Amino acid sequence: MEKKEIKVSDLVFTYPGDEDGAPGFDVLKNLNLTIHQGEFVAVLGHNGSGKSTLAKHFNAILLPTSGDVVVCGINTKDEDRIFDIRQQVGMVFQNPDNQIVATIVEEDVAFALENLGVEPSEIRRRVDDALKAVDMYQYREHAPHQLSGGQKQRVAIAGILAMRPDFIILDEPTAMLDPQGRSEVMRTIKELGRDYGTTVVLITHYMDEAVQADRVVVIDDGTILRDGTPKEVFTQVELLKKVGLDVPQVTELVYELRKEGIDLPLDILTEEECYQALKKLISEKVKA
Amino acid sequence: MVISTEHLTYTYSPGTPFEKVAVNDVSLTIESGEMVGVIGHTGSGKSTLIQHLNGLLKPTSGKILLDGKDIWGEGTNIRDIRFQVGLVFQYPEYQLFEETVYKDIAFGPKNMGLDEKEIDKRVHEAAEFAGLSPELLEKSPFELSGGQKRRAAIAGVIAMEPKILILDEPAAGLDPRGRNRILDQIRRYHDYTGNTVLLVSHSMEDVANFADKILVMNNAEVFAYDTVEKVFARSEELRRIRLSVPQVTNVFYRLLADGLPVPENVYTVGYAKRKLLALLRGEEENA
Repeated sequence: MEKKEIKVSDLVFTYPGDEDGAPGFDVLKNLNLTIHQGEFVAVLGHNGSGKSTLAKHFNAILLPTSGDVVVCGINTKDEDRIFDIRQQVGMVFQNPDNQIVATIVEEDVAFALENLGVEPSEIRRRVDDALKAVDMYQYREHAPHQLSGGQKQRVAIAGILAMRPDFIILDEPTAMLDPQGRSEVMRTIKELGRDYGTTVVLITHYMDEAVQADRVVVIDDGTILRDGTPKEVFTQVELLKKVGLDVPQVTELVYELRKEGIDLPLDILTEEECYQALKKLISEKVKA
Repeated sequence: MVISTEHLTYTYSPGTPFEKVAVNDVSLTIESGEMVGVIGHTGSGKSTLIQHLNGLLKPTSGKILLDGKDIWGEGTNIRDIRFQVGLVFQYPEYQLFEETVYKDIAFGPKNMGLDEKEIDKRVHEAAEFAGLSPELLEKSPFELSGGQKRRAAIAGVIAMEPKILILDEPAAGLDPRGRNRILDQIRRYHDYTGNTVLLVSHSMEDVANFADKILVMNNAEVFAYDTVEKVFARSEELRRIRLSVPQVTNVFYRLLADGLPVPENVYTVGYAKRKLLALLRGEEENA
């Protein structure tokens, strides 16, 4: 059996020039990356870095100019198997309003399954499971327009989840949501991996979301700039700022204090860690 | 120019089962030249409120006053109000439509009936405020990057020289550098022109960094309208109404609760750093 992974080898993607003679340009330049089964990977990069272009290669929305993308052993260039790939790799986009097609929540979640010709009783079961997984079961008979942005986005995730894909790719799913909606969606995303073993790739501009992943991949200028654990990546404050990214507020504070010679650990990424470290430091000073 | 509301109430779909009061008896005065961050969770009424400020929505009851004059009163032309109170919607780049960036920015001033020379001056000034270099003006808006498009759309509103500029989440969807760039430009525009700016945002960090005052909407009502310091000092209450405070504010709040000698009202990294350094070094000197 093929390993359930996405393997990207020497991927080049060139946007073609136009008839007026404008030159094409390479968005992705010889990119190599493997997404392993069960991982929660965050992909960071400034606007135009190529991260969304990369994501669209994962389920054959885009095909490589050269190089290969292989999903669970299937090359995305294999036209005959494109639907097999799309069943295994689901995508969730930024704007929930563009992804909802039905007038009732549960019908929306069932949409793909109906198209796939799944048995009605099986559809019922999967739709209920998916809606429970995203904590939207009690809204199953609501109309989508009665829901908040975070709720709509969770319905969109349920629609993908009902297809039981091995991979879910989310392209800035929280960009249009308020803080409450963002944390609802993030909670759902983390549960996908934990409870269903789904491999999750999260493209985001929010550093506080990326620190929650198992692995962080930073894309810059069409190639991979850094690939590591959140602690390995976010401790490189200067580098991230140089490529137009940021670090969580608490990481920046600790970084700034360290520059002034204050003795604090380098790898602080969360409010809790920052609080504990400062508490220790200040308590010692007060006692002294 | 002072903008105020008196007992402003707005009800969606009145008399139907979907009736919903989106703004409830709001009386508020925003003085001339303020830089205000507007926050509130989805459905709190903030968008409905700001759409009243330039007459896009007509109140169910109550008034909106510009320098004391009712914008829906007799003798006022609502079209003129929209030139004085400029509103930039979310994702305004979807509204770019002209052949060139120049023409797109000129659209508003042209509709105001200004002459060519004045229009030209305003287009260039607005482009500069928005951080768009002159050579971009002759390009098609669709050749610009996402951040540039956003700034071109904002320039189109600035070119009308509104005394009050309202922006609904101008940084949504941009990367951190793009966010800071756009918010910086808006801050500079405010400081230079002295015009009133209202900035709707979901990011407490952005509001803390760029605004002087904060208007917090909750359940169709004004929950708070005060300086950044005073609003963030109520972090417990903000959490209760589903808003958050900046990360550093939370950290300092917890340190304070432990009885440690840290200041209140810390909400930016720069301020936190200065205060902590003073504290840690001060203690060293005394020891």
